[in-house]
Amino acid sequence: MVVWLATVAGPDARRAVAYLGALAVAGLAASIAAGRFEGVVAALVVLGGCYAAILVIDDPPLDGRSAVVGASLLAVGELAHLSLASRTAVTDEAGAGARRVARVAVLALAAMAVGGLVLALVDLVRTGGIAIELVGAAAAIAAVGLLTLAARDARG
Amino acid sequence: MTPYASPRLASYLGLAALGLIGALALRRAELVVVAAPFVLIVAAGLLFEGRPQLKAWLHVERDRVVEGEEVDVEIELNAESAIDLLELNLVLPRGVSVVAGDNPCAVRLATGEDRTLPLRLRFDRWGSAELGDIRLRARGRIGMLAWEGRVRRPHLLRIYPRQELLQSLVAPLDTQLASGDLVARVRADGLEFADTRAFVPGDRLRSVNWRASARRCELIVNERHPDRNADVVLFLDSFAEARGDDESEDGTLERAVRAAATLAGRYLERRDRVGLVTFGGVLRWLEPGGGLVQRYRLIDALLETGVEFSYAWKDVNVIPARTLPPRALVLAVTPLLDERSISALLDLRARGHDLAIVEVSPEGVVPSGDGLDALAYRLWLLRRAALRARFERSGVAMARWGDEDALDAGLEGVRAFRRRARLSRR
Repeated sequence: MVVWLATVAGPDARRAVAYLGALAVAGLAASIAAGRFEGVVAALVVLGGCYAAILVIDDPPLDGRSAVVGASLLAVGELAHLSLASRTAVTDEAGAGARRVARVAVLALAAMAVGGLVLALVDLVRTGGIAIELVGAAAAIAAVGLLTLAARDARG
Repeated sequence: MTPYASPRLASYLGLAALGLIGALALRRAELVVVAAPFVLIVAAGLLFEGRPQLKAWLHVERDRVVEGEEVDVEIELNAESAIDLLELNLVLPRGVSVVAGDNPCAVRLATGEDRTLPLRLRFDRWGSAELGDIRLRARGRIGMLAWEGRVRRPHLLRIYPRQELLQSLVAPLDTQLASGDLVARVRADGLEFADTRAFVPGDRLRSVNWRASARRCELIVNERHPDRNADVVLFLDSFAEARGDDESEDGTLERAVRAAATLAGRYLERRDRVGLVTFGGVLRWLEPGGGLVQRYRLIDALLETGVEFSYAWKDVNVIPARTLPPRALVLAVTPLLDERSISALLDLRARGHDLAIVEVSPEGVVPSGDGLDALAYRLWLLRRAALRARFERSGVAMARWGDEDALDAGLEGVRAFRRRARLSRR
């Protein structure tokens, strides 16, 4: 993913993407080796930062690759979680590992489809000017609502 | 079952929030697209995955086993709702290991599915083991929440000590009045020939030795030794034990209980009456008795034995008098580590009890070390040798039973001592 991002980045953003990408890969490897999911999240943030750097420096009009980036980040997070979860002493059924990897692939494809849908919607309302702020605000409110819901479920 | 959030839940929500804030700050809609999958997976995980409905049972093949035996166990599961990943762990007490099957294990259950998970367990240590504590953790397909719970289906298993190899026993000095397999020293009706003497009125005619009478020209009768039983009291010292660093290796208490169980079984087979005194932090006793019931009583009492730490000074006076009947053989099984049990044994001998000691030697368990440790170890060995000499001077037969030796080899030391040294009566 880092290589792909460095390839698609413009000449001005390439160096920043390469540095950030190397940092993310090193952080991800270290986190998986240390068995810490928090480090994986930090690596995902840095990877997202690579893409944000491309958006800021190259300033494309509306980047269609964002759906792929979102799906890839989700796949990286899920695979890292699988890797950490597989280290327990629990003996899995035969074929469980392959089934989980296949599920991650399905999730990534679904995420890509959802991203494409959101991208199409954004493109549709792009001329509206304030539409992006509205979408962003609604999504932020939704995220906070989900966080509250999750906290309530976990407590009770 | 109690729900717990997966570490991914908060992380993905944080990532999504960061992406959305970044989209607002940078005015780039693409970051919303990047954040969207994280929001959706969390939402799907919270909305579509409900509490799993599961029932579990434990079936144990039998509830009494001999140390070292293997037992089949089955965990039966019934899922009322689909569970994508069920992690399951049957908590095993110390000394129980899995020979076949996976524990812990993970399974996937469809709605209404019944599943039986077989396990084969090996019981390596005598005692009581309670099985039935099953820990469960269930996750859905997305796995944003995990439900943890435990099922308790208690099954108490009694693990009897395995028998040590033993060919002959320590014979008591005195026998009791009931019939048994021992030849008494007294002369009376019996099977074993003792001596001849002149006929006196009242002697039974069948006792007349006709050949000797013909030779001596007077009536001579045979005298015989009767067959009697004995009272044996097993004195188990549970004040202290020596144990190596390796938990799987036996400590002195495990070996002592195994020896006591073996001795009890063998004496009872000989129709002797066997009692038990567990002398330690908690005093337990069982009055001498015979038969199969007494054997189970003894073994059940032995299974309860453990080292209970206590500062309280105890001596022979705390033992009920009827537990130590007159003319009983007191056979002590002890590592000779605690001053209280040592003084109690010396006290027993001083009171005239027929005492023999099987020392469950802790010397192989304790590492000798280097330098000052080695010196201290040698001093400790010398002190133990002096203690043994002190017992032998008191007329107590002692046998050292090392962890490599057979119990029979240890008891041979007692038998040899008692053959050579006759106890004086006090």
